[in-house]
Amino acid sequence: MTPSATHVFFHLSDEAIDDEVHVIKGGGEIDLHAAPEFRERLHELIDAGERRLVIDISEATFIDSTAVGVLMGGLKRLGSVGGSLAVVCDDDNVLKIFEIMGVDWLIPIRRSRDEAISTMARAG
Amino acid sequence: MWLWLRPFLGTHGAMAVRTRARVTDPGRAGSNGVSGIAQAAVEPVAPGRGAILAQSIVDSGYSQIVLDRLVKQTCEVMDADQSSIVVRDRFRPPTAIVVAAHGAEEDMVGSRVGRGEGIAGRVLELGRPIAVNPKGATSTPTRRREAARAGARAAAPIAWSGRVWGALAAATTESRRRFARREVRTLCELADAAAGALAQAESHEDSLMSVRELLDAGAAGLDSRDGYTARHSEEVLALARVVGEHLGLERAALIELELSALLHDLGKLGVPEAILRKPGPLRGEQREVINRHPAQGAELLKAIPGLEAVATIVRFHHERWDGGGYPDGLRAHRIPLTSRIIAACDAYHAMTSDRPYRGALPPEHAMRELHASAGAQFDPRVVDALLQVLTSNKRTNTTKGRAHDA
Repeated sequence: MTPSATHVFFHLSDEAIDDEVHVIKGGGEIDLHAAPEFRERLHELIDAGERRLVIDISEATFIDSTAVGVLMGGLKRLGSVGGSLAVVCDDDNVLKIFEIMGVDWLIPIRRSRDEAISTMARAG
Repeated sequence: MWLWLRPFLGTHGAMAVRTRARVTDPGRAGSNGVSGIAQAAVEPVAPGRGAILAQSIVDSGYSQIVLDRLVKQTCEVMDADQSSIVVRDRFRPPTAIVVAAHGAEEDMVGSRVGRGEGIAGRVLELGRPIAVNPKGATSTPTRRREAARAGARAAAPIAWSGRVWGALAAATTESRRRFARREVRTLCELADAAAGALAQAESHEDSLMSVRELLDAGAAGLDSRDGYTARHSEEVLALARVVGEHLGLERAALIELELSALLHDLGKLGVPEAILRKPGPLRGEQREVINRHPAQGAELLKAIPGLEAVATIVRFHHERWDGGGYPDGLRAHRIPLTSRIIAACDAYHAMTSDRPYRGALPPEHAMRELHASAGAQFDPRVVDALLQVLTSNKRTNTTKGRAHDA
């Protein structure tokens, strides 16, 4: 999937870390217009059988409640098939949004990718 | 709408509305990008509690989650099982995107809605509110079949800049439920509150300037006309916060509670002083004028980016638990909990204050009144919490050897 031309700041990529853990990296402005692409990729990976997903948004410059809603939707979908999700984020503003929405109660949020991956490893 | 407020606020507050500083640094378009600019440009005359709260709402990222708060409120107010907001995708017309959802379809956030798809898609096409009720309440066979399958559904257009950009939908799975005309009107009010939040969500802009200026100017305006209202708001805020914490409100709801407690009487700026200061009961038209203040306060607040969900709480702070309140006649749990907390704290503080029409009641008397009105005017659970808070405050104050001062 190519990044939408209308969202020069938003970009998405993903890579397998090992047989179990897969990382989706979202950068730039993850807003309501970026949300469909973000959601689609997340759901595609889950439907393809990925069960341990790390969402790395450490390069996101903006995130709104729609993007958080996509994360929560992904968590719900993963939960129904016994999978798990962790988020990489070190932006204090974004962390505040997670806190105020109560997301940090439901999804492990780590400041580095390695920490998030090791959270996944421990979970299993 | 702002013209009538101008004489009270002067240019300071009125001009600030919808003035949004564009974040110029795309590298950090988050919530604090604008604060430096705003602070440099506007030093509030008297930075009171309002300014501090306004700062905290922006710092906390609250303004970015208002849409999420509004769908939760919609479920409460409409007594619906699910609620969602869709917005047109400017880059891929004529599709729309689900930007917030609460209830069964929570995992639909971020999904695309095709032209005319679902009740929200139809509202985008038609530009007017729609209700689809079961039992053949609608005109076409297709819609009757849909309704029978899914229970009642309603959606209202979300419009700004002269165009319908989105829709707010509510649905219930209960097959016997219908959305009455009055409920659809309330849904339209909620959709109207969502308009500002959506405009802001699309622009990524922040609103610190207008929120701060409004709070300062609003508090100053109330204070100059009616010293009681401004002081009263601060005291209702202090009491409401403790009650909210006691009831275990989540963080976002506590922010809303503080802001709406402080601003609940903003609509009184539109009430003539002769009525505000009248010694004696209000009758007929005078009563109607004062009863308009919750809706008028909400009108003002929903024009402020970031305060849209606060606006709806202010709208409902004179609703009664038994459904006999105003402006929408909501009943029981359909009144947002935050509004129910403000209603009880507001009444307690008013009873224990000197008013033009009567002297202050002793705290014990006011507490008995609250207790007696639980289940009629007020939410019994809120009254319980408030009475516990007041009793423990009194105990603390007595322990400290200070007289209890309500």
